Amino acid sequence: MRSQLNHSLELELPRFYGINQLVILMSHPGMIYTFWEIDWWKLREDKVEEGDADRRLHLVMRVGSLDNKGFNRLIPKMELTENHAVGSAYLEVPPGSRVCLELGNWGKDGFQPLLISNSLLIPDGENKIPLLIKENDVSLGPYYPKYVNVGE
Amino acid sequence: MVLPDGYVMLVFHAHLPFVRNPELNYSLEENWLFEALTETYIPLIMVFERLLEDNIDFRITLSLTPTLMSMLEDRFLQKRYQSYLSSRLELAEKEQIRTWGQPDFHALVRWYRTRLQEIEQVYYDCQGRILDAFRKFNALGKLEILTCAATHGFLPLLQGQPMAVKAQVEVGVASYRSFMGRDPQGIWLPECAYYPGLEKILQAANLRYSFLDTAGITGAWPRPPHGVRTPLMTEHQVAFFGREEETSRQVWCAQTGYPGDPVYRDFYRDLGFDLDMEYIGPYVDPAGIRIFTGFKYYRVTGKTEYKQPYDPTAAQRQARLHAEHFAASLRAQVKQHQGMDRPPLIVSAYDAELLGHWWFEGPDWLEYLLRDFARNDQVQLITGPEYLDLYPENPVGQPAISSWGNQGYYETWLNQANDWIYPHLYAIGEQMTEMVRRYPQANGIERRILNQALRELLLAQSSDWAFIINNKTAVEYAERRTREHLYNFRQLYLELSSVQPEKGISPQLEAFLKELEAKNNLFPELDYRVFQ
Repeated sequence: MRSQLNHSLELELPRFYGINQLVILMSHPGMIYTFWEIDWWKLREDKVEEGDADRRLHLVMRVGSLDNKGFNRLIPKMELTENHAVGSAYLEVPPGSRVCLELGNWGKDGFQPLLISNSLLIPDGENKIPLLIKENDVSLGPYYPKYVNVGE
Repeated sequence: MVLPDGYVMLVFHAHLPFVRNPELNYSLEENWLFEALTETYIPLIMVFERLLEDNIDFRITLSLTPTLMSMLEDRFLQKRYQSYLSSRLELAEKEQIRTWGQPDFHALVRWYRTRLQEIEQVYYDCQGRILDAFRKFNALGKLEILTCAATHGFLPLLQGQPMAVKAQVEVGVASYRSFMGRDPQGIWLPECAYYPGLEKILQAANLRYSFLDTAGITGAWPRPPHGVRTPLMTEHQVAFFGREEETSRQVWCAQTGYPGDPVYRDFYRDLGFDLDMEYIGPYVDPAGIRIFTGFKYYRVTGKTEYKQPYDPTAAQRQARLHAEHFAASLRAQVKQHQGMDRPPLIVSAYDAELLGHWWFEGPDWLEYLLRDFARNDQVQLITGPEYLDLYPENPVGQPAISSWGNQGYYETWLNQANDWIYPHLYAIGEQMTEMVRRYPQANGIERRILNQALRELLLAQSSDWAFIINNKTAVEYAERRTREHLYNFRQLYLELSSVQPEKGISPQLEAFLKELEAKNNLFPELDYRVFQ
């Protein structure tokens, strides 16, 4: 166990946490950031346990909007390979909708969802009044910028 | 009862990320606290004391974040601040000799020395416990103190894990209770950032009100008839006050705002950068890195390299004029909004560190402003609870997604420079949830590990790290802090499974845990089960 007091940027962080997760976050209207982690090995095992002799997985991710009729696919599916067991992406989504992501197996019976993300309300951006103040326009800004030139 | 023409709520958000490095002889980043104490927090207390002595009534809303309160109450940091003040006074002594024969600068040095002595006196009078002074004004009803999320986590970017948002809010409330001896009524949302549904969590924590950026109110549905001139009530009975833009610009803006006035003190010219290292070395980073010392001898002057000497008397005169201008602007604004069923409200909200640290004359400006309000009853200062008691009926609606960051949404804290943080935060959030399920009633060593793991998780969630990385300022430090807390959590998570309480724990684990508990020692009463 390395002391956390070792002030190094090299503290190793895991690439895999051994969990299944699919999360979406909004950056600004029309743009979401998604990240996921999937355990391919376990998914295959589960598939076999369920009586499917075909161990192959054809994982796809799709973005949809949620309304009272259910899930409407909005953007084309994104295929994932085993190299994509962990990943992240920015995706454009329509402003003014509630969106979520599904990750599932595309098999002979169609799409079988395996992971469903949280859902997010994406504002239409029209209510936004133009800000009078932009970051670069702020003389003083929050606290830290004074260290910009330290050491130069 | 004669009603005023309008109400004004002055709100200051005081926050610094948790920085405490007892293992180091010197920590550059601890200076953030020491500079803010010297230039903002203690000068504000001095303003409040003078107003009290002169029997001037005033109302200020101040958020003191749990990380800042923890640092203000920390004995180790209090002692380090004493050393910091002593070294500044020593530099003032040296400067009196060096500037002999330079009348403008010599007089200025003497002024700095007197000022530092006054600051030191305030610090000694409260025995280093600055929070006591804020508590006093809170008890007198002059200062309404808000809480904030535990470590200033950016709540909309944690919403995919509702227990993380709940923990940030509940730990923030519990921390306030332990420091202030009572429950908070209001909360400042980190970065003024809101997402629909947050009000449910605020309501569950018994919070009565909060604040949003202008667009959070003007973009609400249904649109409130008077915009930010009244608060917006949500169906969960949490009221949101909207920040008014024009007054914000007046104070913040580089081009047209007050702080850029030519007579005010120039922020960037500082002895730490101006003098030979041989002379200034003992007062900057021992590694030879130049830093700000707080001794700044020039005024803004203009957009030129040539700077004229700073004149504190002239700067004070200007602060008074700016305060009178600001008060007149507010009076004119409320006049434009007559015809409502009540006097209009103007909420002016700023980072507290703007006053004094960034805008040196800011505390003087505030003092003149508060004296002006006391002389003139057209506009009345008010706090959130006072307003809501007076006007319990308010427009009801759903606030709009918003923050006070660039473009009004979340991209300052989520973009290609800092997005790598979030998969880790969510993964350790999953692991924290798993641990809480596995150990519903932990005691002894297991409880210590679980509590420290949650401290590390909360510290990793601070919005400050993503903000600094985005701003390209102290990037290396912010990345290191994020990695450290994620790493610490990871180690504790991995070790917990191997703990057998009856057999004790390995010396390495005990040492590691003790080290973390000693260093990241905030929230001593934390209960890990809040994360569920």
